[in-house]
Amino acid sequence: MTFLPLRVRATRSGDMLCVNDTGSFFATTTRLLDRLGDNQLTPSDLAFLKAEGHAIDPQDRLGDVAYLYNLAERATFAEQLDYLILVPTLRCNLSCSYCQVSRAGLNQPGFDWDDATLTAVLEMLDTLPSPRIKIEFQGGEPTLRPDLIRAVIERCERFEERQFVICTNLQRVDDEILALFERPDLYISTSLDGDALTHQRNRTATDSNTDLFLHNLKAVIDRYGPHKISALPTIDPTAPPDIDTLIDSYAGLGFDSIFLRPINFQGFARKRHSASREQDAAWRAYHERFVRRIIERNWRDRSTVLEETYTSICLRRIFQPGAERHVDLRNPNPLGIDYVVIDHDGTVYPTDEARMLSRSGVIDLSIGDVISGWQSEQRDLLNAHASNFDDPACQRCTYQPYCGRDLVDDISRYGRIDMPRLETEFCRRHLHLFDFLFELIYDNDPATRYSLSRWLRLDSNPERLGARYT
Amino acid sequence: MAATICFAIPEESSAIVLSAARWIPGFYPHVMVDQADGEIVLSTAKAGADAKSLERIWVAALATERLAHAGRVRRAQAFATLAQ
Repeated sequence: MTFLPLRVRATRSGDMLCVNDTGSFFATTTRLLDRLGDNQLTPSDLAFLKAEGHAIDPQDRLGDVAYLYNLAERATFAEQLDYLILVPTLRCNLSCSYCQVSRAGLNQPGFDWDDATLTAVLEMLDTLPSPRIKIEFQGGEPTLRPDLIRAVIERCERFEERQFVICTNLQRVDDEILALFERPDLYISTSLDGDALTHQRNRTATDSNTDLFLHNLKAVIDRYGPHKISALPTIDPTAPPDIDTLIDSYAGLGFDSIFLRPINFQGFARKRHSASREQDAAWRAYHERFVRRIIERNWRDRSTVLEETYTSICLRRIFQPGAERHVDLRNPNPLGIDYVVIDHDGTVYPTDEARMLSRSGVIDLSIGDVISGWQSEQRDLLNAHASNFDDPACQRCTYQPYCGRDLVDDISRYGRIDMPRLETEFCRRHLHLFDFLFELIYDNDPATRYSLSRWLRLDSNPERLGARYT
Repeated sequence: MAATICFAIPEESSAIVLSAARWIPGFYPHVMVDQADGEIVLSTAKAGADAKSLERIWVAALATERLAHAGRVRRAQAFATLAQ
């Protein structure tokens, strides 16, 4: 009998959680592990491990191939560039206290794509071999340059599948912008920090800006429905909003997904919100209370299913490998291959955080530019360290198959990529999040199972979500 | 301290035991690890933690460490096959 690589974690609820390389898992007691350590496994132990895919007979070729297939399913396969974040302008008509890109003033010259950059972007689009394209327009405030957005979208007609997202503060929604919004392949992403007061304090600054935002948000939802538009809050972890107030702000507008996002330690936030460098136990406790409150509300009112977006993403990483394409949590996480960011001056960055770091003057992580390309030595150097397979801490971590690697986050926080993994914020955050998720997975409460099943997009509620062997 | 437990370091498996102990504070930040007089001492000041929870952590760390080497070999074989 061959055992698949297995890691064990003592959970908060008293179980011993065992996870193999492919992400298959079960909960057990210390007794099984004692027998495993003493080479005293019983026939019943062996039968369980075999049935659950944790052990394979040497003659079982199919079992071996299944293991390889499941292992490959866990790994990111990034090949063709088909996801672009475009920054047609860095200018913005607001000045949020935690602006992660240190936006340029509304009338500052030199912060929009020039003709040469636009031409290079359009020509680059022509060369992409993929039949799919996803483009996010970021800023600055991209709606300040609808002409550039339109030029890009028009050039993408040849793609079989297209998806466009305009990330906007919704301060400007005139006929020209509405003409863009009308496209069925275009989605709107905005920020909503909670109730009007909180949103104004963090972002809109004045009553008139706040009123305009709320008016435009409601108008867009009325016109297109809540599924055309997504919103996410940025939370100051030192003063998080009341949980029900925040949920009500979203649910009241028809949003069912809330991405609870603490201030990113970038841009203006590095100076104005220096505590955002590390998230502490208080933030993690707030996040847990938030998710548990959503579970309660989902159970009480089953007409709608609310979710905390990142919790759902992580849950689906456990059960549905390959279902998500969340570029902030994947392994390996190669940079500059399947997605890139093209800045207002044509500079190419591997991620949006890398762009923010450069704007903050911390480190230049650009990998090239849209005119001369980005097949650079810098990119290859970073990509040599883009996986969690070989790290000794990750090799001992039960959550390695579900987790990822974020080089840029490490550079942002510590100025280096070789920090012991367990000492990084990325690792601490995910260790805690997966601990929490497994607590929920093994929770027998029907309300918890109901929410988890919906977040997994299941039609029914399975009797159990995780195997148990006692 | 809310709880403390000690484990002997068997000579024949001292490398595995010491390595298991070394990883515990990273994976369980509320647990402190000391080594004294041929023993590993685990302790925690976390409210609600007891000797039983420390024992479970020790069993998990030891099992992971025992399986780690075999795991690395199996994984390397698998990746070599996948790369073909």
